[in-house]
Amino acid sequence: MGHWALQFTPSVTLEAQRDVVLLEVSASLRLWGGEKALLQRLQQGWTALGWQPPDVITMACGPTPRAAQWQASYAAMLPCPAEIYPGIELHRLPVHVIEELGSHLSMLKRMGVHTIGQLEGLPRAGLSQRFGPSLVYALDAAAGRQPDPRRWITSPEQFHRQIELPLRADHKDLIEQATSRLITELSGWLSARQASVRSFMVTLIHDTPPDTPLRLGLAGPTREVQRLRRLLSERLVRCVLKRPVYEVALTATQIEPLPESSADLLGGPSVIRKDSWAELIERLAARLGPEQVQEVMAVDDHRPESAGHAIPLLPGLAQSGSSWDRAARLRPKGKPSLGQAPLSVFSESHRPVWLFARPLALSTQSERPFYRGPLRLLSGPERIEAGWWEAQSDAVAQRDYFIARSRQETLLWVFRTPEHRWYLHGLFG
Amino acid sequence: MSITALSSGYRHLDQVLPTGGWPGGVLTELLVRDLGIGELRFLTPTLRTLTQQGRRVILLAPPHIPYAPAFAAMGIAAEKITVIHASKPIDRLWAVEQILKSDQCGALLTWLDTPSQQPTPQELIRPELIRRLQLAARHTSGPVFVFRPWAAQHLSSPAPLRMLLLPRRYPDLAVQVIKRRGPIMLAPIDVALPIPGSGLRSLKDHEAIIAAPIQAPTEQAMSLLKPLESEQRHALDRLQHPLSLSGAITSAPSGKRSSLPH
Repeated sequence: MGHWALQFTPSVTLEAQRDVVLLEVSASLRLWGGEKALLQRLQQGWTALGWQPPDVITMACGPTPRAAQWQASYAAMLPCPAEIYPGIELHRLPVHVIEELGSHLSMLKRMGVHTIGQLEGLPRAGLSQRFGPSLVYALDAAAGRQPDPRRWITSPEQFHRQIELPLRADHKDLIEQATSRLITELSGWLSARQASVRSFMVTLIHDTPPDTPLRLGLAGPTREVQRLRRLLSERLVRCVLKRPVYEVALTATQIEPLPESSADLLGGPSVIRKDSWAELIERLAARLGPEQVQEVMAVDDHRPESAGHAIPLLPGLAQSGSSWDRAARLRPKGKPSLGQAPLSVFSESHRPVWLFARPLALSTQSERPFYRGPLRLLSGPERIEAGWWEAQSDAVAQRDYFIARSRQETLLWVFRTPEHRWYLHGLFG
Repeated sequence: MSITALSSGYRHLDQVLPTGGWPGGVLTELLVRDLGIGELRFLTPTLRTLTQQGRRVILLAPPHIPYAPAFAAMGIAAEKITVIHASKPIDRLWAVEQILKSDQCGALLTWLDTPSQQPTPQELIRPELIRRLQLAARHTSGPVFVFRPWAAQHLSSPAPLRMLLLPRRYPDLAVQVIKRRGPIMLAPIDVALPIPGSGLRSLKDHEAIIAAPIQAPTEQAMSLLKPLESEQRHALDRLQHPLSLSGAITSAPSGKRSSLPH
């Protein structure tokens, strides 16, 4: 809660024993458009995090930390608390908001002292003698007569939050709800650091290991709650829940600095706009899987399988050692552009627009390849001999390529191995 | 819905299209008899124009790997092409809707029906789903090409423009518009297609080219190429010289080489 509040002011302090979060806002009030606007933002934020004011928490303001705390304690005692408590004068507050009084409360009551104003009216020396110097100090600090230094909390370097679900979740709705809260926290943490997230991981924790990690990548850095939530919900569609979930964790895996923008930090109903390309891509990747969204690119390699590469558009999600990483390494420096591919490789040779992931073995009849009927060879052979330097033996390609026409008038790209086996490798679609 | 039209790149075809080119914001169904008849090369002029203008083109659920070198050879800026795979039909439809509603691409090419050699009517996308996509297409300004199997021509479709792509030996492809706004068209339109690597050639110069014999073919290669002699005027005869890559046209493999690893 405190870390989330850091987005509004760098001065946040916690009174852990009393479940109090104090924000020093005098310096940032103008940025947030005044006290009322700030309170409204906080209220929305707490609600999104699951702490609905005024039922779960109460908010109040005061000129000093202690005054604010007392106001909030008083607001919590009200029989019908308002969503945003307006506050009353300090001297009208009841004395029981002062924690330092403790057991002396009944004595004061017998003395007929009910409000802080009445307490202030009593002689100081007597107060100090009877109730201890801490009470006098508290009164002075609340009124601003004494300094009340606090230790401000700092935002953690990494974002990792884990929460227990209110009940065992067999259903994705509950998980989505809980993770949405974590996303709000993440967004607050990012705002406080003036940063944005590029990829994050949601871990579903079951009763026994292994956990289910869900990696989410963004096409562009963001801290917009709405965008992150949408991504999460698309990702959850793809996820198959095999075991019930007890806890959810969220870890920011890739953080980038982001210049302060005027975007609605709470992701509330902001301006309706068309999605950007980046948002479209990341949403597709979240639902379909990051490896399913690719750009095509050509690599200067004579082997047909290696000359064209499909590269996933969202980096940063790959697990090391996967084909992704390999593909990323293959990407030439600078702008990957097919137009810039060396013409010597591509201009003279004829390449099909459809390549088969695996060459399809063809039957033959008296040395003639068959594919839904006998094939007529139109051009070739084009000898392709490359790739022998790669470690895997199956990377070796020595083939004679031909363009063939089928009985169905389709144009095929076929090759013959030195063993005189025929394969279909592509279509001139 | 946008009324701007993008030229198909074929003058005769543009003339019969109600908007004078590919209509934007609506589905255009291309019914393909067989994969490999030139169905994608048919859109080369469109893809070239769009990608060279810096517009993005999405290929959703293509039946095979779109091969980058071929796109480059046809003058298409392949870095503008994004490929999205989705094996489940429900995911494909979802993705199409997302893409259309975001209106972020110059053109969408999609293969919605589950690929199969002879699809039964149950395997084809139902007309009501096509209608839903047609509604989503209103959000986009570019053309939306839906490649569908041959069998789909007998199903009704809410797509306002539908055409059959028929293979032709010479020239390369015949396009028959079976549904459009306006009077019904009967005669198919012939179009010449580029072969990746040979560039685009118009029908005229393609007729003028006399096929050159395959350079120094071996006996074995000759026997394989023999059927060609009877069809000298084939479109592929435009290839004036045999395909060569790093001077790899040597002799055909002899029996001795068969011991080499493949």
